[in-house]
Amino acid sequence: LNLKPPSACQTTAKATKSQAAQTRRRQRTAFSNVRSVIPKHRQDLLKWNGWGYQDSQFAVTNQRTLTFTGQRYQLSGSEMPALVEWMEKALGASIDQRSPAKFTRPENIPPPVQVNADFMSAIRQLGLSHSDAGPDRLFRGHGHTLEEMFTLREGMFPRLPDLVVWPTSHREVVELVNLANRCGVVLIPFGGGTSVTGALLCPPGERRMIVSLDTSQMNRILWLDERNLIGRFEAGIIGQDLEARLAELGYCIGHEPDSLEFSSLGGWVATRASGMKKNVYGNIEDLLVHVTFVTPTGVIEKSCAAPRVSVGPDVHHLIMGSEGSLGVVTEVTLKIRPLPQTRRYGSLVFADFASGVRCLRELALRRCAPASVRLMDNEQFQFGHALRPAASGWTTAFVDAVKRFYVTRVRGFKPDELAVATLLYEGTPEEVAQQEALVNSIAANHGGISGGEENGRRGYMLTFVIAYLRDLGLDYYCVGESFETSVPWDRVLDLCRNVKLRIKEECRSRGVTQPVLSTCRVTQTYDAGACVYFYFAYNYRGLPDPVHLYEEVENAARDEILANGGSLSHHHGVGKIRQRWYSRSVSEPAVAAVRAVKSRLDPNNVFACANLFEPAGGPDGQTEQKAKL
Amino acid sequence: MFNGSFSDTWQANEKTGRPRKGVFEDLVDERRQRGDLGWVLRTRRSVPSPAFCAAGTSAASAAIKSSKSPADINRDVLSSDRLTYGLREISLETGRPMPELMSEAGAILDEMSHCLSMFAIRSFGYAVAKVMKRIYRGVFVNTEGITQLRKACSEYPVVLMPMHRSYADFLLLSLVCYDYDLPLPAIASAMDFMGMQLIGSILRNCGAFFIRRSFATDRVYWLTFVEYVKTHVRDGLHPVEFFIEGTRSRTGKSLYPKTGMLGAILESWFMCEVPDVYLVPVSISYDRTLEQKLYAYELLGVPKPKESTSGLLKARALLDEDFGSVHFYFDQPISLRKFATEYGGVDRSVHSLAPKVKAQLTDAETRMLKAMAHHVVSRHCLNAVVSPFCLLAALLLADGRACRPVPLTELAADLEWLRLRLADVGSLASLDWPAQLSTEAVIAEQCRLHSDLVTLLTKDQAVALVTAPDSDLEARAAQRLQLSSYRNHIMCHVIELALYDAATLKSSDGGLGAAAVFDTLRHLLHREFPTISDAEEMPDMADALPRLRNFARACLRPSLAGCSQVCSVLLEQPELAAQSSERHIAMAAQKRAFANLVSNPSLWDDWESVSLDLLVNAVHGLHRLRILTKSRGAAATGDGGSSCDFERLRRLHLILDPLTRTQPDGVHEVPSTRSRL
Repeated sequence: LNLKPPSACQTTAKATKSQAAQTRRRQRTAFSNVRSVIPKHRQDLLKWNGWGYQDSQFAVTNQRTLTFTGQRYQLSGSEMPALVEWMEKALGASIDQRSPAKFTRPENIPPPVQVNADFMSAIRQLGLSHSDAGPDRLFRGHGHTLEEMFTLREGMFPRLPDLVVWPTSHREVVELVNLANRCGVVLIPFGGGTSVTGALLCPPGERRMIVSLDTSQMNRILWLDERNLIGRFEAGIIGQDLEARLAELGYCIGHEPDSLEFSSLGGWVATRASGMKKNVYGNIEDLLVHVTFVTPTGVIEKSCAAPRVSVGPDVHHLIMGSEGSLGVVTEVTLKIRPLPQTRRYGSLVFADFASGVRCLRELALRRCAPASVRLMDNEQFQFGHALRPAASGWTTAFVDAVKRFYVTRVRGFKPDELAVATLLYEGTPEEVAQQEALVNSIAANHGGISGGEENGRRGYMLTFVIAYLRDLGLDYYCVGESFETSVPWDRVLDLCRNVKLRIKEECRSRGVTQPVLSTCRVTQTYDAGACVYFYFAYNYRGLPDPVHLYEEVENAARDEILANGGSLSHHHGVGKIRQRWYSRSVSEPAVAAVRAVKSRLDPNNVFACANLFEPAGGPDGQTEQKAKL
Repeated sequence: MFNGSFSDTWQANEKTGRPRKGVFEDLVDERRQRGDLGWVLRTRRSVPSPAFCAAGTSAASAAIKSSKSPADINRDVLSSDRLTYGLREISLETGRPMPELMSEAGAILDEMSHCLSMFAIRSFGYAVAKVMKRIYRGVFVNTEGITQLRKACSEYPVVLMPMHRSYADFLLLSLVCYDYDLPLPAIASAMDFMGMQLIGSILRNCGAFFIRRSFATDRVYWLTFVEYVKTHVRDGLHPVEFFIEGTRSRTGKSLYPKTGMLGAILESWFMCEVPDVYLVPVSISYDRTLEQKLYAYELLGVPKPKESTSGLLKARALLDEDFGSVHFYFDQPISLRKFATEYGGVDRSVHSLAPKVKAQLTDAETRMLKAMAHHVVSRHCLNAVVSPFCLLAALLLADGRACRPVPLTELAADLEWLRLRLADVGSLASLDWPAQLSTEAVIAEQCRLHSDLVTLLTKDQAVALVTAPDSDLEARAAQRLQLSSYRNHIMCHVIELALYDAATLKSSDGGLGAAAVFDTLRHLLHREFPTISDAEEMPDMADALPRLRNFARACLRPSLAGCSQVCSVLLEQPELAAQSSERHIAMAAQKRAFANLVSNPSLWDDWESVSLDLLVNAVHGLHRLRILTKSRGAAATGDGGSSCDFERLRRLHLILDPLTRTQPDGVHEVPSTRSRL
């Protein structure tokens, strides 16, 4: 591999010096043109009104059995006989009561409402790839909250971007941003489209032309620096492409959010993302060494890629979490790591959730948590159980029975109380063995027993499949959503219990008569606390406005989280759906400071996505829309 | 809730076969029909336990299951973070070693904790049931309330907050819980009982835990107490039962609520240690109160006899008396979370920054705590079943008409009128009115039940008071206070109107304006009538019937007379304020009142001004109005001296003066020859 100083790649595509051109050419041979799994026209591969790939979904094979279609996942093709029963028991859903989507293909896509002629002629002149086709605009006009999915199935968004533009380099982004600033056009950056905060929705009151800046075509690996173990990447690269390409070269980033298949590097930076293996690799703020950020008033970047600096407030922390409201990330330097020699799964079974949390707390205390550790409560354990494929032979069934006998009879765990932790170890074989022994001994202090490697592997595999489940639920009158928080250790148990119960009570008091699924898991451990992930779903058969009801319940749940000492968000961000709590969460002067930065960097409110807060009346006073979308 | 007075059309409850009366059913009847042995030995079915701790996410202990022994509770208290942290703080400040503090906390806990056992409940319940059958005609419970309580017990921790009118309150309440297969409460009781031989430990075994009366300055005690209570709330296995009024009301009126215990309970929700808490106000009304006579003498200043087992045995004469019926009204459980949402202004997330062990209520939370306490007291009053005798007593006392026998027909007409008017206003939803009886018959029946207070002169067909001889001032006053305690049961229903009436009475104005007078009286009487609403606005009750206004005015007059008495004594003895505590001022006022009565026994309303309770409340009212202000040194040393704003006191006296003048008619005395004492 070529080791190149960072300066070499900061030359633009139109480099005139031959040496630079040669450099670029060599670079390209090594890294450029990462062929993404996701096509430029996303509709060719992805569902337009659901999660993920078109070929992958839960489907009913016969009356009582569900299967997962396609060949992409480990679960694909296997039949899950227990799932229907679980849906009936946990949600009161019935396989005979279907609620198919009103629209089976995108109809009524609103045409572009604003076309800025100056802008259009300028981008044609610049040769920027763009499209105003309905499906292109539709795919970039939303994220994946329940409300957005429901809107796709039952209606249409009031406003979509008027145009999609695909810049292919930092330089083109600079030109595009300047152009938008000059022409009075709104830019909404788009990476992988997996936002769950309403961040991609067009502010309905916006009267200017809205252009979606799709970064997907700037997905090159610009260089790797093996001496320093860093690499420079264009912001549009999506997680699975990034890891796959690096793996070929013997490296990894190790940043694995659950949306890894679809989310982009730029999106991770803009939302302060977190990955499940942060214990080894760190969250995005730990991984990020350098970032280039294009704003209407210029490009923000540090002058060096030194590992840590004390040069005033860290501007990286303005960029991370800006959620598209200040500018757009174009290039990022991240730490890279050699691929681990060993990857090993594990699982632990505890008598109850509380013992599991105490175990995780001790792992954090002794700072020996493996790459990933997640503790599922009993409801999630039961759900995971329901996703088990039919036993593939009498030996498996026999082994299962023996295990069950040991856990429930010999150890006395109650099947409706026990909790399960899944573990992922990475490192050299010795490191992993050592770590596993230590973790198991700590677990034993809390009454935990090993549940075997296979259960752990399944747990992680389910991470990617679980997102598909919501689409299945929507077909059977069930709406569901997940949300997360982070909280100090001493409040974890109270928070989990109180929020789960609050969800159930809020549903009940709003007329939900069927059982409500309200479940949580602890997904990250920190020195001072943990990240908790909640799932909740309910059956809305017979209720008039399930999405509104859902919103009210989620808001109540968030109030409960905050009352219990939890944060507004651990990694999803604020977006539009959590704005009402933003000021309370960070204090008024802090919001004023961020607003001041916004008005200085983006005086014309080009990045008018209205995330974090409503802009205080743009220059043309166009943004008086209500927070409610 | 139910509206309109219920009739006593007796019918058997379809499920239990128990006789019903409106929303109530009678427990005693079944005990009379069948033996008690089977009842105390039977298996209690499906006792609800809260779902919130079954979720397997209980913070306190992994071992929380459906039961927890008293020893487990104590162990959890002693090992709790909060207690350890608090003791360590004390240790660092005072230099006392931790082990010493821990053992002190352990000793406090030994003294405090209950030792609830089903065996004890069953055996003691046997005895209580026997007594109950003997002295009460019926013990009525609203079944709807029981159903709601049952549901509440299966969801979140429950706090039972009964009225406190008698020692029988908690015995009967535990019995009701036992009978309805509800979890048995852990009952906060005063230390007084602990000293009683045998009874102390019986009560402990029945779930009573004992709290010292004052321990504000003892930090170790406070910490242990709060943690003990919170542990019960967190576990949710036994409802905590306590008396928000702190002690038995001797006057029949609600007492000013005490917030310490409720604060400890609310803290567990403010600190998010429980998802929610249900507070269940329980109104208890006795047709006749066991302690009625003792109370009257206590109000006069005769010291309360110390609780003792031998005293209890002496009291067995009571077993031969008829005490009528008892009514329990279990209010709809109040969800703390919903109450807080409606009350507004409480943000639990402010506790996020400090560790949980540093729990301290914020100002907003303290305000809510007080509002909550008052709300519960209001619910008590609103739901309490009112016996016809309360109306009768109020009518007899109004305007001194009972100084001579009142013709039965006249009284019956008045009673009928009052009953219907109060029902119209809707304030008296729960009058225990026997439907088949004529009003005259009801009066006759009540006279039989309360023969120690009133008597029906069959010859004259008139109702007269039973009074002690003129010479025995104390006994006469005691008779009067007993009677007025029944009138006080309905005070909460007429107080608003009475205040409105007083404020709008032309002569009392003094140039202040009605709203200002209303406000002054509201503050002056805030302890006397804790149910007075906190609203700044004077309610508009201009369309109330003049006769009802007169009645309300007459009901309030004795209280105002008491206030006036306190004003007079302070004006006559200006040095009193500076030197004396509230109680001393009250005693001086009582002395003055007695002196007045000796010289002029016909001062009808002043007969209640000898009640120390009323007088102490009046002094508190003056403090509230800032006419009396605790001097700085006094606040610290607790000797009670206050500075007094005599100018404002004089003005207050001028406002009160016209309000306390009895109507000129009816100043004759009942001939004392009819006295039975």
